[in-house]
Amino acid sequence: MRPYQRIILVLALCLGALAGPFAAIASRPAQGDGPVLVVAPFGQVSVARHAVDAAGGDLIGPERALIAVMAYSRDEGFAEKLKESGAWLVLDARAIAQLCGVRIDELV
Amino acid sequence: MSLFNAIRQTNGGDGRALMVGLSWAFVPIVALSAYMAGNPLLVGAGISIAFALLGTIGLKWDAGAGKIVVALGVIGQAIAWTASLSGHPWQVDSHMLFFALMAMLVILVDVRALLAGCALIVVHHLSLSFVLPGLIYPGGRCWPMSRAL
Repeated sequence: MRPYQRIILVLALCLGALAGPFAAIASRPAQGDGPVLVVAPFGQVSVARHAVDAAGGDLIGPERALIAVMAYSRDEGFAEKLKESGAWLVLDARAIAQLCGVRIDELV
Repeated sequence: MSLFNAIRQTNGGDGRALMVGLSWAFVPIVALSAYMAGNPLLVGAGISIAFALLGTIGLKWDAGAGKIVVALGVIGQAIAWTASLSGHPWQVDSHMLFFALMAMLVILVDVRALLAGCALIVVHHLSLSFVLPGLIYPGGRCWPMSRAL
């Protein structure tokens, strides 16, 4: 087996490893009653922050991610307002937080 | 005549084209399942197309390495289909496809391809078990290695 073939096989295994978690997170849109992850077009965090402000929510979390922000609001239409304010994706933040072993329900 | 010899005579000793065709046939099925489950079409279909392309690469390679890649492309379809049904009641049942496709890998008549397919299944389930245990097992308390194996 040639070296490049081995590299492709390893990449295939990586694809298999990442596909599940990626699909699990991407398939969980915001429910409207919990914290959300706000992703702006091309990872522009300033746009995501502006969207949260415009939608009447609050930024949460001790750290800020490079391409997205976490936000919370009691408003059930928060996710829709975020999209109207420029957010590209609004995902359920609980699933994302599990990547770091954090139970986000205890934080909000 | 052994079972392997019978299979060899049926597909000319190389079932790669048949298995790659099977992989591509799954793309619309996965997309339809994602639509039915209310999940993003691009996620499931994207994974399905990525694995089908991977299998297609295996048609160009020599038989040894090519069959392994084709096997990964086929098993990847089970990953894509399961992902497309994320959150749907049928998602648990969709795991039966892993067993069905693993059995179909026998068509390739290559033990290494079969083992590579098994390895991909284990890697896939271990990654979910370690990264997002709460989404798979209630309470996230399951010992992931035993479940995957």
